[in-house]
Amino acid sequence: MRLAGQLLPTPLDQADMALVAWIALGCIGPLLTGVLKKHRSLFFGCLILPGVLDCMAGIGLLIHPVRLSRELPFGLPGLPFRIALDPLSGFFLTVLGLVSIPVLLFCIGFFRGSSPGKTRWVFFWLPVFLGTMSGVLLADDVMTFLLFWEGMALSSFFLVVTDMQEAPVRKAGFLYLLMAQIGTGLIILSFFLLSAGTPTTGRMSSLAFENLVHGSFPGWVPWSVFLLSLAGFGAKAGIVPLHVWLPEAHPAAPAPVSALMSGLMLKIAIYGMIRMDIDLLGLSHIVPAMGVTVLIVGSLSALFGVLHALMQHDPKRLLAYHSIENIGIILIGFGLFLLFESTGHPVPATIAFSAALFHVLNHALFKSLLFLGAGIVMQKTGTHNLNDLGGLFRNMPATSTFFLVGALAISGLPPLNGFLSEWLTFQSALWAPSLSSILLQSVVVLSAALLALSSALTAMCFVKVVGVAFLGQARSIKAAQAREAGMAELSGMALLSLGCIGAGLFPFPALKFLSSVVTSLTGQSLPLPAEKDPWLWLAPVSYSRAQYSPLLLLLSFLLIMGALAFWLRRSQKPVRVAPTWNCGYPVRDSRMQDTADAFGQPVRHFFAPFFRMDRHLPSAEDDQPVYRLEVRDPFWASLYDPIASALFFVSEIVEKIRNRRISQYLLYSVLTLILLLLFFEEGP
Amino acid sequence: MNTFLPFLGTSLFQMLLVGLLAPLFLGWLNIVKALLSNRTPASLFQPFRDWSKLLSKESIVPQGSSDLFRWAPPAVFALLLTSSLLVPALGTHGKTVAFGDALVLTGIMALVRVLMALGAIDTGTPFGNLGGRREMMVGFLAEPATVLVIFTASILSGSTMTFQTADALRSGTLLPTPSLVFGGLAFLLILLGENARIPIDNPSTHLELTMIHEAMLLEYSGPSLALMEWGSAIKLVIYLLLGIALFFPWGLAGDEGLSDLIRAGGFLLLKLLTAGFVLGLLETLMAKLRIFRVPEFMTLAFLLAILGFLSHFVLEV
Repeated sequence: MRLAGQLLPTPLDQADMALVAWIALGCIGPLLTGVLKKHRSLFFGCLILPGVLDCMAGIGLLIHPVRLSRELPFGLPGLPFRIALDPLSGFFLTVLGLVSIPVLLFCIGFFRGSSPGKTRWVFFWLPVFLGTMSGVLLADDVMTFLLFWEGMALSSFFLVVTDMQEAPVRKAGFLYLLMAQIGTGLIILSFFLLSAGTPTTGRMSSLAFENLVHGSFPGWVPWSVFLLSLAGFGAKAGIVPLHVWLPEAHPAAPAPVSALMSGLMLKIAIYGMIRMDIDLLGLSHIVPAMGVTVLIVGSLSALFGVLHALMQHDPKRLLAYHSIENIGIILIGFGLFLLFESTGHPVPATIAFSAALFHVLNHALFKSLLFLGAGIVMQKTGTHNLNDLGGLFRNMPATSTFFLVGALAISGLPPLNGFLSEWLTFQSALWAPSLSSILLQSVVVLSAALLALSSALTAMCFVKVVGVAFLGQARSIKAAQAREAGMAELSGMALLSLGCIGAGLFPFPALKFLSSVVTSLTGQSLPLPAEKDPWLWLAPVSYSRAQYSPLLLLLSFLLIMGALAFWLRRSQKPVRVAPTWNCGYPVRDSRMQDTADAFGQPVRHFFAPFFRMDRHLPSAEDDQPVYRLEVRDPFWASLYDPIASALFFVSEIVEKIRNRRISQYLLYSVLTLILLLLFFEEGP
Repeated sequence: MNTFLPFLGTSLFQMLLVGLLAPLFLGWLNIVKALLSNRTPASLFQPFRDWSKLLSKESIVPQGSSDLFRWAPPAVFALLLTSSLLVPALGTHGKTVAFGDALVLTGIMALVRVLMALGAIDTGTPFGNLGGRREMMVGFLAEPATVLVIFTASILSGSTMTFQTADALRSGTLLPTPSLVFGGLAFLLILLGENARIPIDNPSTHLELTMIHEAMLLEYSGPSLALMEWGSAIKLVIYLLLGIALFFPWGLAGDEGLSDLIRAGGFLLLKLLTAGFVLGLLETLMAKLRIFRVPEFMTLAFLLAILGFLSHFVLEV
């Protein structure tokens, strides 16, 4: 046993190897467009291996939950880089591996026709992006964490601006970079506050995570750390109102990059939030009001995201808004956890936490699936507009089926995986009566109602996407002539669809893994009674409280479907294809179908305060009547534009002291020096 | 395996029961409506006759529709019949394979709605599109209200399993609590909206300005149409059974002896007859709402449901 243990690399070694391999492969990536042109498939094959390693490392660690850590032989003087792997990072590493494999498989085919000048940089930054993401998960001290965090931000920035010849893409990229830097600044501040509370040993090694833990702070520090980390990591995750970069950056980036950013990078931000709040700050510093804050932010993000998603007709922009919604759902679970944990209700707390983590996995699976599907559709039809599509089910049956699976999963419909995490969140919210004050009870139940509302709106939104893009008649020639995607792309999407179905049908193993994460962070384990067949039934607390068996649902459904199909075939009812009855009107045009914008119309009216609408209606005298509608994000006009104009105003004033005379500049320096001398006069 | 195999027989019985009660209930509802508007009613078995005729006909599929259009009706029917296992019909001691709780039931209803809407949009006609779009609009307002009603009822019983909830409420006092009254009112509005009854939708007209449910079914014919209509009738009965379990559980059998079950069957029949009469009366007395007023109607349901759980926290603890 001992020998075997030494021969087999530990999970930490595996994760370490994966990280190094990804970054090393990134360095030879650019050669693929030149010398190694023939070996592109081999390259992506090699890229997949670290993903497999990450999966093995993560799952291995979740089976035997321990904490492995190591100092790297390099780093700053006195500040060695440290990496570690514990169940929390193990879980996120598993998600990273699971999603990276199909996305990379998809890349083999997706970039086949692109120009070498463009793909050269993608092949460099894509592996580096994956490597730095796993680096963030492995980091065990502040320096390493921030190093990889910034590497992740930079590499994703360069991936976003792949098409940098286009001005909107550059603009989106800079907006993303700006938000990422603001977020990083806030994160650095919160680390700074955390380390201020640690006992000073006189050495700089206090930046290691384990030395930050369990500090005792003055009263205002936990709140500041919590708020700073919520805003800092939230800027990356896309919580409202820091979400503005998401709907710009995702449509700009190539589809696999959007899939990785939305499926994984936003989750890394959630990881950061959990690490900071629960592990480093410590559960003892969490108060109920923090839970309420997260709950409110989460509910608002969920509703806001889905409402704006309904208004979009660019599929990737729409999916970006759905990422905001899903981050909101994850935060609702996380907020419920903080609230129940801090008020001393471990059972609903653990359910809420595992619901949030489960939704991390689920969202990673179905959102990357949807982004890949949207990417293929946009590549094959050459349009960014849903209103030019239609009827793709006939030409692209496989892509459409996979997209449909993703759409049903994100809409939270049984028996797929999205339903499960929402169901678990509801189960946790049902413990509201055990809370002490009416205010807390109402917040919990209302957030559950908002969750139900946003999941119903999501269903509406994806009826719109699937209905407009894949069903009905083609609205343009390009859509009518679209061809099915290649094998590589399809197999990537097939793997992700299988993931959605598998996680939906077999929730118990997934929750078993999550249970070790929850236990390692809170000390409590999920109740999960197991007296019945555990692979069949999911009961978060007890069977009499709530139980759910997706397999039996599917079985019963399939039996009845089978009987019906058998009967229909036996009785040989004829099926005749005929043109649709058109009420006697002679013309039938594909333009008579609903557009994506028509679908959002009732929602636009019902939730009018959430939108800024600019509408132009034609008048009776117009020679060329035009109908134009623009729906915009209200946060631009109410928050970002004022901030931007204030910044410009201040900088114009400051500009006045810059009058290009060297004598005045020297005067400024002297004045500054004198001020500094005065200020530090009484120092030690 | 022994967690569901012994219950297969009763499950099959429950599906058959709900599947057969559905057309009978529809027949009864039509009788009530005909009598109230001074018409000679058709027979109680008229839905059976209509559907058996439809089942023997050919199916016409619109040009350019995909396989989804063809498979939506059996899928909708199968899902609805499956979900009939989740609500107690006769007894509360869960002898069916109750594979989920009330939230799973709302999930399945949402899936049914999505499938129907997608099937309608697949026809590529303006009617199908507007039907699907309006159905989803009613749905997104009804679903959170349903979840809140389930929350209210399960807060009282400590469980979201409909069988457990009914059991807990059955043994309680006959006097309804304020939260249950509000919840029951909200549920009535949800039931009207979800099942395309007046004032949200009129099942007996095909006027393009107002129709929702019928617009989605316009292109279906033959066996597909029969399955869709039968499915909708089953859905109505499931909602009634859910309402009975949450708000009127008296008379449901506990530990099932045969005499208990027969008594429960009598109660069920009585409740369904009453429900049919109330629904028929409502449909005769009320006019159809304008489509733009539908959100307000469903918001009322949502607010009543919120009042329900708030009044539980404020008045009853």
